[in-house]
Amino acid sequence: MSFEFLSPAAFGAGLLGLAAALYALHRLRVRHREVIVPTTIFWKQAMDESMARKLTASFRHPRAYAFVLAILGLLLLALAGPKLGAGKGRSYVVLLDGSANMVRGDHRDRDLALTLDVLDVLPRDRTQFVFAGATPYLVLGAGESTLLFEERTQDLQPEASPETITQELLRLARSTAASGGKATTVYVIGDVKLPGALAAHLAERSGDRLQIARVRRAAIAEEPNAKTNTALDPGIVALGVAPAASGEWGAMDLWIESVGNNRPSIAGLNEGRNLEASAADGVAATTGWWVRDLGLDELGDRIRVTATGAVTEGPSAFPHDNQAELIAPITRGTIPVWLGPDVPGAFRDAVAADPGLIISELPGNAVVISRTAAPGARAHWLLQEASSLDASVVATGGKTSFGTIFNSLGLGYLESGDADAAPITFAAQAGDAPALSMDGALFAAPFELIEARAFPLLVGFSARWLAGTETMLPFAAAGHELVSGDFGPGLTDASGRLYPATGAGLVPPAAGDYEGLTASLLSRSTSGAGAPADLIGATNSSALTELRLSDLKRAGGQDLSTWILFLALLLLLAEWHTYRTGRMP
Amino acid sequence: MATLAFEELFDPHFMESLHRLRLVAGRVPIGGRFAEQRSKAMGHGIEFRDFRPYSPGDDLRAVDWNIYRRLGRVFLRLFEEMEDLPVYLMPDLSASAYVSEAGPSNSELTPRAHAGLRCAMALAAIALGQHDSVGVFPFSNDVRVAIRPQSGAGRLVTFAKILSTLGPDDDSDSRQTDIAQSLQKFGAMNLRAGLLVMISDFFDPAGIEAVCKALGRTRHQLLLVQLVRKGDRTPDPVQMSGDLRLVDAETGDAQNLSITKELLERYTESYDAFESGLTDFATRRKCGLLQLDVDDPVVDQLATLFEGGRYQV
Repeated sequence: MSFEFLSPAAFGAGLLGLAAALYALHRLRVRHREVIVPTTIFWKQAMDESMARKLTASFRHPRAYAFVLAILGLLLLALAGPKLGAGKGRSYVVLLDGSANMVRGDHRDRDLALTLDVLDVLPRDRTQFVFAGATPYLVLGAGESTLLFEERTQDLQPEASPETITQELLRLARSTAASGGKATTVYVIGDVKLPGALAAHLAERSGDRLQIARVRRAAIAEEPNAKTNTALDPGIVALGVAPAASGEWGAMDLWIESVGNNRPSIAGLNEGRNLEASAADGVAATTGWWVRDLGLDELGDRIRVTATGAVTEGPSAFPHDNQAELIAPITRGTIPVWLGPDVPGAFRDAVAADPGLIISELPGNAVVISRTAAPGARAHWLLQEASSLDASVVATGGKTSFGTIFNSLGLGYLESGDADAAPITFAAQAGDAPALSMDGALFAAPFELIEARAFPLLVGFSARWLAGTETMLPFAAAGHELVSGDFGPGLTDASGRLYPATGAGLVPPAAGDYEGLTASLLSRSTSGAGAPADLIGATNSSALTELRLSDLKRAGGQDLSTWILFLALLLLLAEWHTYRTGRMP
Repeated sequence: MATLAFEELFDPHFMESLHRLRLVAGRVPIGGRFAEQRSKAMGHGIEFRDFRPYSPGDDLRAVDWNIYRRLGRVFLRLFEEMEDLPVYLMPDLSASAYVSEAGPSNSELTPRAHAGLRCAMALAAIALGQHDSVGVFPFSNDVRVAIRPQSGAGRLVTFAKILSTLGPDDDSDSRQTDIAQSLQKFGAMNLRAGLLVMISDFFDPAGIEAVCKALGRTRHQLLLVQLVRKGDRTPDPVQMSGDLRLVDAETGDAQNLSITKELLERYTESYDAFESGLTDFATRRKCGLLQLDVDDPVVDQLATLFEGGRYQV
């Protein structure tokens, strides 16, 4: 048995407190009701006889005490919300989809009501409720009463963002595995599409401590605002950014995907300019357009895309996909690099060619590339003797984020003339004093790493990693993949393709912090264009366990409060009967 | 409320219902007035009782001449002397008989002394109606004379008036029951042996043993009328429940207690011992004992004592 509103310790403490308080009350001197009787001789004899037969006399009414304590104890027990067979020790998380998809029809109200029903059948002391909007938000913590539900959810609206439930599930899997804590069951509510392989993936990541299931009502109502004619009401279904394919450092490429015949217009907020012409001139892809080389400085900090010719009124109107916003990447500053006198000249050429790097005259506050350390430097890239490397990390192992960079450049192995391919080793140290140590011999004969085509990128990425400057990551909302690569927790579909957790703040392969990106987009299915094949959720979605509320009621345990209150009532009647029959004062 | 109204005592229906009841004594002691009870004296009554030889000085009218003619010896015919039976009524006027007790629904019951006085009035009416002499000696801790023994049906109104004036004493000492002392004082009055009717609840602080001992010392025939209530043996669980401070109506002593089933069982055991003590005494002494429920009609209960309308003293 578990308690919904009180922990067992709190219940025990309350019961002890009650017992003590009642005991004190019973020890209090009572005011006797005065009755004049013809004689007290029989009562005196009875009292004398009773006293002679009584073992103890310190406690006046043990039966009344037992009755009252039992009744109050039962009331306290009922107040604690006891449940039978509610999965002892297991924690529960209810995840409500708060993405833009939930603006459809009455989905938000419907699923909020379902969430409340789900919370009512789960043990409150071990259940959290998280609203997965643009940023997952803990609405009700474990132990908080559902009486707070209405107050805390009245202002909750679906946020203009893709789903974040996948991200939250991965976080839960990581934290559950890391803490080695309680087994957790996650109930997902909402329209979010989750791949069937996700459950097994999460179980594997969490060491089989995390289970996931979707909860639905027995019957789902018709969606009143389902859009049927996309030609009449165009909408935006994806928006993303990527580093400019042209290589221009201060620019980016914008990915727009829409349904309908008209191309959307683009505007930068906060002093931005109207980029409608650029959008119209964008390069058409299979499902959308690339708008190339948008200057970051021109755009401002937000990018807004508006569907041209969108219908705002009438039965076919679906205004939620008429406009999308994207927080623009932080403007990338240039990184000062100081080159030591003893490094090969190829380094200077690579730094000079990189628009994000500038050659500094002083080592202070710069990324130093040298054979020896320089005081006051921001970070060091040291070309040392192989024997003096403190630590060796096999680049192909990908054990650090820098290793990921190394691998992405195809530099994991280097042929050394007549020798077999051998792994390149380096020492990478993140933190307050980032440092990268490599064998300086790699850049000379016979290895001649400076001759590799990827050498400039190695210099650029290494300098950025050391400086902790963000790397603009290819990003798209609504579950679209712009680039493949393991940049953090991702998913693998049935075909073995790896997807990053899009729509989330990804951890970049850099030593510094990185601010995540969000976008305001509806999914393609919401906009009436059907589920595209490359949506993550479209793959094998039927494999995820689905539960009805009735199933959950069985799993959530039987509520014993009513029975306990009934038992308390019976005890009260028994007490009354005992009192009336003179067996208790 | 303390005293009983004259109309309640001298109710025509009440008096009418007593006409069929009679007190019959076996042999009343010598020395009474001519009445209807057979006495131990031989005299000029109607009913023949015995013969005895003539002795000089005897009344010649009593000589049985038929015997003298057959036997040649002179015998006197002796007849029963019919005299009165002295009836001494001792109603209890102690505080216990006048305490206000709560009945069902907290209604106030009439004091049990009222039933006692009505019983006394009934017995007085029966005795006066058959020319016996009746005296009233109310008692509590002491006995006093309310009506000296007197006879004559015409005295009935006087009896009713006097009984209606009887009530509890204001003096707190006089409100306590002391049957032994009262009987001792009554015995000291040296009255002619008769029927002593003690009408009381017998709640004497000295205990039932002391009461029985004192009653055993009296030379009168005894009729004990015990004033009882239904709640005496088994108290009303509604009235007598919870934490109570019981105050003795006579002594004023208070007893704090918490009513429990066990305590009530002890109480009933104690009361049963009291009752059996009184019953055993009545059985040993071969005297009458009537447990008069004070909340029921007096005459109906009194009639149970008079089998066939007669109570043999």
